[in-house]
Amino acid sequence: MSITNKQIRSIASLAKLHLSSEAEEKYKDELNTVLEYFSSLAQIDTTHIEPTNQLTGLQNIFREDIVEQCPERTHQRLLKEVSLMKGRYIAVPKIFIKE
Amino acid sequence: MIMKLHELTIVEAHNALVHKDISTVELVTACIARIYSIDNRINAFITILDEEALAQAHTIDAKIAAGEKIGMLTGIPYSAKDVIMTEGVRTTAGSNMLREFIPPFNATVIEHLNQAGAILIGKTNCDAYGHGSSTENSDFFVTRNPHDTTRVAGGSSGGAAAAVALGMGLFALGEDTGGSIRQPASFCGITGLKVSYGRVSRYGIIAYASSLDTVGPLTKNAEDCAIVLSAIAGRDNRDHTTVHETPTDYYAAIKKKDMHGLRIGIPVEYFTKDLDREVNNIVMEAVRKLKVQGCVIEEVSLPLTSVAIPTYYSIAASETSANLARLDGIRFGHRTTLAQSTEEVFKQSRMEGLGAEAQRRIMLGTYALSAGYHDEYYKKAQKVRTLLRKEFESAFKKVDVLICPTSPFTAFRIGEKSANPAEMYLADIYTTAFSLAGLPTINVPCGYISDLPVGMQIAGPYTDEMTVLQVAAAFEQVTDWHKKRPSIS
Repeated sequence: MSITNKQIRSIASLAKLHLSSEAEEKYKDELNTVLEYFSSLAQIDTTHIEPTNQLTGLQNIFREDIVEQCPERTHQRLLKEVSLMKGRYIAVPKIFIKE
Repeated sequence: MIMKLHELTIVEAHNALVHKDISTVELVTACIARIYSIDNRINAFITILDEEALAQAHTIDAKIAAGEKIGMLTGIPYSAKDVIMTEGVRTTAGSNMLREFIPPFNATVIEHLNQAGAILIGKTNCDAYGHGSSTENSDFFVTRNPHDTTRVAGGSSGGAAAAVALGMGLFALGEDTGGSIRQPASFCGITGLKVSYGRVSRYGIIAYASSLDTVGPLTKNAEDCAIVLSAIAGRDNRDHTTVHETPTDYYAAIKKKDMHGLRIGIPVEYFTKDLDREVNNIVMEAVRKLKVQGCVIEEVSLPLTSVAIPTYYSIAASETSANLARLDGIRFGHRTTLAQSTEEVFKQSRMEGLGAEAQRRIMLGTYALSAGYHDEYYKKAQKVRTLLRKEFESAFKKVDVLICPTSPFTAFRIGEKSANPAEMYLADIYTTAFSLAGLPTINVPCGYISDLPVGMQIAGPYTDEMTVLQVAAAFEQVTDWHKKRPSIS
């Protein structure tokens, strides 16, 4: 079983990546090589084995729900990172487009 | 003073500061001068903070002059890998996507070091998002090996390791997901500690694979590692995966262990006929040095070692594909000027901003997590991970630590492995299993082949950094490999 071009396009779409046709071919070959290598996992018997979701064994960590004031300095630094502002608002590209 | 200031260890520099033999300004100036004189040949640094660092040094000198008692890290210059957030200081993760990103806050580890009085002198190069073993996947430049500039420094924390080897800062903070502190430390001939998962807060670290990421020190020796670890370890309310233990002074206890009767396990799967003969001999000679001190050597078997790499890459690629989804040109990162719709902003910005390896791992991870394949890859790998952990747990019933090489080879030439991703992934063959099990593992220099450093790993049971550091210190006490520095000047 190997990945097809159609699958590569579908993965790229899920991953939100624009791929050129050369990149599509390249990633198809590379992914197939790596996945073939991953196939050794299938030979390990994992019947009745629980997956490791985490290592620490910690659960339900609580802390007091206290409002911490964001310092003015942090506030300003955050807004400086915004690429487009209109007045006090953060501007983003259009979401709805006329067909 | 005969020794040059940038060559000092943390302990030596601290003593010199306490006795007023040197000033903080002199120490910081020496490390920054070192960057300006050699980093054009090495490329360890993405950002240099000379003005800020010197201002801090003056403040600390004033405190010392006023008779204030100083801690072990007060006035000590250091660098941080560029995946660690620094308030007001550009943090790129080695990627074009975050080329202009200036974090509004500090990572917890940076806060801890600020409180300890350590002085940040710059941010170091790495494979973008930690994706790599050579820094060749940095979107900016390749960091060269201080011992041979035609070779890689290792990765992903290659800038951090090269910086410490050359005294561009007395220590560095790195990040290790599958070997990213240990392997470059090995290639550059320094000491580097991957902590137990959860030992050090990950708050403010640009995430690669969240169930594996750890932050740790790269230093000139095990003692210095213990000092930095004591400052950065501990529970953090902002990272709920940090372990709940009372703070430990690792430095105070590092030399207090008698090696007599300590059991060292040699995992046979790490010493097969495929291993370079010279690397094999050097590591086994190092083990003999510990045996002379009274350690008991025992062979152990870890049969699942052979599937550590596919297990690691299944999990790491899956988790990174989820973590890097936030780099969409809106929440974070470069935004294209070519797009008309939101969907195009995502796709086009990511294509422009993400390098080939990041795209490759995102594709791989997205596939491994997609409907119909999740059980076959991600979940399967998580189950194998359980088996791997059990294998280590039973090994640690018989032995106190495990010792094996850090890398199957010494530093390779730039370009030698970058054409073939699958081959590059094999560079992590000895480091990933310890990451999957979350174990504390240190790289210690233990020899040279043709003027290139060889390192060994000492791994201990989960959360037992203390024993790992004690064994490393015991080895460094009877050897000089950790004192050997690159000849570049």
